[in-house]
Amino acid sequence: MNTSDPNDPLSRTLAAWRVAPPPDPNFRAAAWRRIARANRDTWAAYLRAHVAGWSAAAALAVVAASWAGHAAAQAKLDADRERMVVSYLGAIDPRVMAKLRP
Amino acid sequence: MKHLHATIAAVAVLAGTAGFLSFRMGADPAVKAALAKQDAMAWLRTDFQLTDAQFAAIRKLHDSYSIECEEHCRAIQVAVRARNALKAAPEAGSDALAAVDRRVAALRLACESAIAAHVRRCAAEMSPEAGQRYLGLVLPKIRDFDHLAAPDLQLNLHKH
Repeated sequence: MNTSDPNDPLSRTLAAWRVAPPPDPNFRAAAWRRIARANRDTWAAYLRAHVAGWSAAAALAVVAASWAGHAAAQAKLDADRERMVVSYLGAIDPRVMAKLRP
Repeated sequence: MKHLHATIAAVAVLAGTAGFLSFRMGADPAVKAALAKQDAMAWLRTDFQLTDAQFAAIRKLHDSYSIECEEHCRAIQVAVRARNALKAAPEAGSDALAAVDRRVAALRLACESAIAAHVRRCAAEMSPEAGQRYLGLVLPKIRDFDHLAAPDLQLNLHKH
């Protein structure tokens, strides 16, 4: 369909159509508000807005997890050491050796 | 809300990583390796931070003690066999049984004294702190030897 036919009434009507909206004095401010809201919606912006709280929470969590990890490592080391002492003494204690021998 | 959840997840990942690294680095790797390998001499060397001279002295003590250990072991076995034979004999008197029981008990006590003396000699070769820690670990176990498991470690000096 050729819509650019100058003899077509619809084309003529559309060509003559002019829109003159009333100027909105708040348009620019509203646009900036929308832009600012969109910026605030990013994760980085969220973090920037709550940097103090989340920094404290992260520091606390890291310290607690580090302490727990260290405690778990020590507990495992102590348990392994305990087993080692038992094995060590088992190998140098004649009473144990006498028990084990046929 | 999605940012809150994402932040919580990030903090959790951060804390988990910190905890994991702390767990992995929470102990001396050399001690951990010796314990994992059940290598008693390596454990002594690393856990009690022995110098080469201290380690050599303790190795020598273990060498010489192994002969004594062997003698004690044999004496206990002979006494236990004698006791078992006596118990199996229908004509065995209670006095004789009590005597062999006393003999076995005395040998076990002598063993306990000997091994305690041996570990004290080993501890004396270490630094005072390490020696105290070593004795704190081994002496209670010597007194409580019935709880000892079968030896399953690489104590290459001991050739029973």
